[in-house]
Amino acid sequence: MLGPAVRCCDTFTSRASGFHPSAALLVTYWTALGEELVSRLLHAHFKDDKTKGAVSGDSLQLMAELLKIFVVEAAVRAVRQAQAEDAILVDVDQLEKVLPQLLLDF
Amino acid sequence: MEEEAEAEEQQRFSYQQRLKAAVHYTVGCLCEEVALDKEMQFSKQTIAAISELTFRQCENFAKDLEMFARHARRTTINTEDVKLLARRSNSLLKYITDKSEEIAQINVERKARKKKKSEDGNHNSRELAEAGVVESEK
Repeated sequence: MLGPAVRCCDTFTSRASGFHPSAALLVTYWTALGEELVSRLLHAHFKDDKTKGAVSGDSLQLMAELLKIFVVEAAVRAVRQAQAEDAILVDVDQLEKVLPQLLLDF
Repeated sequence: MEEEAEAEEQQRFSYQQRLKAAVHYTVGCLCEEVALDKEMQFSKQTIAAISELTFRQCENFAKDLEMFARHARRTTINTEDVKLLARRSNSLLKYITDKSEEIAQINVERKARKKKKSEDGNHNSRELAEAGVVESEK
């Protein structure tokens, strides 16, 4: 199973060098993983009473970026897997195969 | 008493459901963009799976961020904590670091513009006030 995992790494390494161009475009021009949504998502899971107030504005925007990349990366890798398998549709089977490496990368 | 606890539990549950629904919608939009770009369709189950995944991953992120901030003896989560979250993949870390500098730059510029606007506003109102004072003294 090393094959697909190695291929998956390409997505990230190409990001560092030149970026897979269409993925880059998607991530930069889609601005709305709504900051309010991100804020609520994080606050819903905070356990410590002291932190409950406080996520700085900058880091909220950064978290929105991170989550956006997470979603897009999952989608793009699943598509790559489906293309490699000559599938007509991206189904859960393809997603399952790219999941381990995705979670290791995050 | 028990009824109250149950009602609260119910409320928390439905809040969570609403959050999940919001995530699902956003994930759907993002996947739609990818599908158009790559000319590949996503099955509904795949989109649901990705949004469930994102929601769970958010839980991990939130706990980690809290721990990082506490470890640094802070009560506020800042960008350093977020960068630490992205440490596992080098290219991801680089991307996030670059993004954080970009965001910081944009916010600095925005603050500078706001400050300039308010200064100009004060300057104008001060001029008017002085003019008024001079008049009344006459």
